[in-house]
Amino acid sequence: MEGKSEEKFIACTFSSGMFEGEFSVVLQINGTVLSLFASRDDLKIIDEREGRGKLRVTVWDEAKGLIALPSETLEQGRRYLRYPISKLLSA
Amino acid sequence: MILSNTAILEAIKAGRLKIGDLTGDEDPGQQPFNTTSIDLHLSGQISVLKSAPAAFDLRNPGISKFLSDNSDPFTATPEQPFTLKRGQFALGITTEKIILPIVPGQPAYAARVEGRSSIARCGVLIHFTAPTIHAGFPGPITLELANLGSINFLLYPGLAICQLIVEEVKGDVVPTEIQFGGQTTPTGL
Repeated sequence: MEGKSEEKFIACTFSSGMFEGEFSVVLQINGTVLSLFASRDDLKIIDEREGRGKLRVTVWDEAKGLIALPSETLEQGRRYLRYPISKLLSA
Repeated sequence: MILSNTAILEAIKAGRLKIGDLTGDEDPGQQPFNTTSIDLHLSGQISVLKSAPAAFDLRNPGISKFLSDNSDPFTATPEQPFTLKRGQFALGITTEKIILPIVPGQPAYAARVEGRSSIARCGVLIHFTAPTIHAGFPGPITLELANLGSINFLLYPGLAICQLIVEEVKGDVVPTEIQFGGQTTPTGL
């Protein structure tokens, strides 16, 4: 199921991660701050200097509005969240 | 139930498990297989947390940024290995990317990363608190490297540093969701 759906994104800020080719990504959703590590493949850079970008997500269950982040958040150790599918960004 | 080497290969062949570049056609009697595990290898990427006088509140959000801002990356090469000093803690990652897909109606797999006895006898830990790789996980494995031994050790990229034990999960796997202030669904978007 995962990875077969249309490519969608969610707005994020980013900076260099702990390893080469890895990025620290911070999401702010409804006032909740979540952070995770993502590879270059999962990040679309909008403004490198300001660290603004889009994080690739997978629509897991469209009916439930369930999406999967590329990795677990460090705050909650989970990677699935409900998010309005219509508000996801395109490539 | 722990998967044998042949069961691991069957799962890879069936697309229910991905471990690095393995296709499922490999010989289970050869490296990197053991009877009930498969060896994983250290990449050259090492990250060392800087020491600092301040204390970080682990309840604070943005942990990935804090860790990134306060760590030094190191790239080990065959010519320049990473020296894991006595008492030192560092993070490493495996060269192999692991994918444990969740497919409705099919059995899921989870896994555990464990040390290898030869390296353990030297006092080198490759994990000490987070060995579980949950169903649905995609990516390389982050290793919690620590040297409890009495001498320094050289870590080269490509070293068979740990082993992966794959287990079949009993029951359906339902994705567990991130909570927003006690709510499952974010509001006000």
